[in-house]
Amino acid sequence: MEDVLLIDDDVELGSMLTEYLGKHGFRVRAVHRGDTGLTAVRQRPWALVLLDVMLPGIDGFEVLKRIRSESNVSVLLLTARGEDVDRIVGLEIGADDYLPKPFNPRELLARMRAILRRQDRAPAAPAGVVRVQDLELDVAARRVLKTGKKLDLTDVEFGLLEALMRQPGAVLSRDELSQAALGRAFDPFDRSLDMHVSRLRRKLGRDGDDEDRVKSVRGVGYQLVLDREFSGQEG
Amino acid sequence: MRGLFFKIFIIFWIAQSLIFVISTAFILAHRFPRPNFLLDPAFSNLSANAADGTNRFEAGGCAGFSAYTHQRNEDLALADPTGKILCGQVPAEIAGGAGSSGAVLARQVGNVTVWSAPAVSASGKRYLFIAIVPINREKHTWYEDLYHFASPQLPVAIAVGGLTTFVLVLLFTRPVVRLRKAALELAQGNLSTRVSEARQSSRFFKGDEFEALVHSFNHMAERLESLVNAQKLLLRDVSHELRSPLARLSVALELSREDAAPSMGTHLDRMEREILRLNQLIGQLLTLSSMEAAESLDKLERISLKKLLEEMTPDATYEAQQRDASVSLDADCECVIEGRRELLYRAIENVVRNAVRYTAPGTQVDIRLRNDPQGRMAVVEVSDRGPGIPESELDSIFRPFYRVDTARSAQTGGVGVGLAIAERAVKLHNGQISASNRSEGGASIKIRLPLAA
Repeated sequence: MEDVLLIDDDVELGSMLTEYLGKHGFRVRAVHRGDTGLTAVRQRPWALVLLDVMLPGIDGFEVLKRIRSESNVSVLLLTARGEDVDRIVGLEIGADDYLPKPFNPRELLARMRAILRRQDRAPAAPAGVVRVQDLELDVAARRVLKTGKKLDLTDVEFGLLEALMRQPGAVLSRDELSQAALGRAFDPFDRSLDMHVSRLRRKLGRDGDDEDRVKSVRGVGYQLVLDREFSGQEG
Repeated sequence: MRGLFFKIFIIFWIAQSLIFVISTAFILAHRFPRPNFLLDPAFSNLSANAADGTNRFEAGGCAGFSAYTHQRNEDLALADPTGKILCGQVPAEIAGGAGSSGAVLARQVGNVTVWSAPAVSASGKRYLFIAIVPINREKHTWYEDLYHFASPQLPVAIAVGGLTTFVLVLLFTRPVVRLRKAALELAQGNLSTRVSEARQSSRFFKGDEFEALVHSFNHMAERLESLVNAQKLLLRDVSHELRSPLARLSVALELSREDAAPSMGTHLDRMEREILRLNQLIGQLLTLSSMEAAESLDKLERISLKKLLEEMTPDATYEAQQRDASVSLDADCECVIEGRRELLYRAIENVVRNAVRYTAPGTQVDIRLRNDPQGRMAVVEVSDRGPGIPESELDSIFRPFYRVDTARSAQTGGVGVGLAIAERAVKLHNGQISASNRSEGGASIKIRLPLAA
């Protein structure tokens, strides 16, 4: 049984989800306020936190921000507002994934399992350091350096970059990337993969003008572009 | 704003200067002596001089007369009554003209005026006394008078007028400039804009009409901001309140699916589809109403329509494959326009998905991007090979919830707001959207968007 914390002001939804997830191997604790949710997060290690955005007490984004400042627990953001801004802001602050309400509970289950798989896999992944040109990715420490400077990446962005860096120059399909970074098959109507990629792209290009380090290949997927000066050295 | 400032300034300045000049002219017209008043003393003076001159001539001959001439420092001559010059130098053409009649004569000859006055000496002899006066000393036209009397004060009037007008115009335009800036900001969607009100200490400005206007403007901006915020909150809350029950419903549905007999499966699937559809409808209605509320776009970005379409095509292809159809993109320009990316994406996506939904199985949906150089427009044309649209209803399909064929729509899915959203989004980008039927069958929707400069 995995311990899951549900922070959602909808009491009835909470009890139904507790029942549903309970049947699928999750022990859910539901709290209904932002501030009590934050205390609950601190109480003990959780496998996963399901966080609603609209909360009494403290707003969900604020809760997420405070969680991120003190722990690395996986957070799946839920919201019924359904605004793109919410999704972008949520992923920006460091949510591992995002699911708009109303969701299909099976979808929720799949996403939760994907996040947990990612957690399990992370330490087991081939350790060591991957280097591509000026980028250095330390798998064990989950740290990325760009010309010696540390980049601040979310979990998903790290996964994306790792997948791209393991096959530099190759075109990875969106499905492969989705599997690698989000732990689930690619859904063409879900734009979150593209959003993660564009955020990663911006972070990689922040210092200079090399905005398109991660190139979009039409109809196929994405590719880590090798700089000319570097590829010259490598032959 | 320079415009208003300069207009008011120039007009007031000219007006003030004109007032000065015209009133001076009136004063001159009423109070300056007219020619008659001038001439009578001049005549009596001339006769006296003539008598003096002839007496000197008779006493001392021509030498006496020229001494008199020197003494008076005037150009004088003496002639006998027939006009023959006796003394003094007179240019030939004048000499001939000095008449011999008994009246005082004044004639202009060249640039001098020749006055000739008959005179009788003490001994009783008759003479003609001639005075030659340069003409400009005698000529008093109205504008010369005006110039003469107004010129010393005119610079003062212009300077003082300019200064006071400057201050006056500043008083007028400064609040207007502030108001205009604030109104511009407000129009660009920055609803928290306020005009700075006059400092409390300056009693002089406080309470004048402009400050009242500034105050009213701020009041209006405040109302506007609170109304718009309330509207936004309402949309968000409606969205939240409608979706929360749907979220509960989906979980309840899933719970019952696990307990239900396998025969219930199809019913539950149908319920799930309806939940999905209801959710889509809520989302689209919210999008539509938030777009209806928007009058214009702010935060414009440059968007390459080609890239946008390339990004969209794989998803559309995926959806088309479910119906055994395909999607082809044919873009022959980058077609960069200015607008909001997600709105445009949604607009074109709705049109494309609509086409994919209606095209016949096994056919192809064509997306074409063209550059129309005449209107500086980018043209996106999406054509399907479906049943087409009845001619009479070509314009109606952009109305929310409008359906060409209600029986068919249940199979094809969708909630009927997609094209309305597309139309609204295209209009917000100052573009046009239109539908037509293709001669080879199927419908075609054309979106025209102005290219970025």
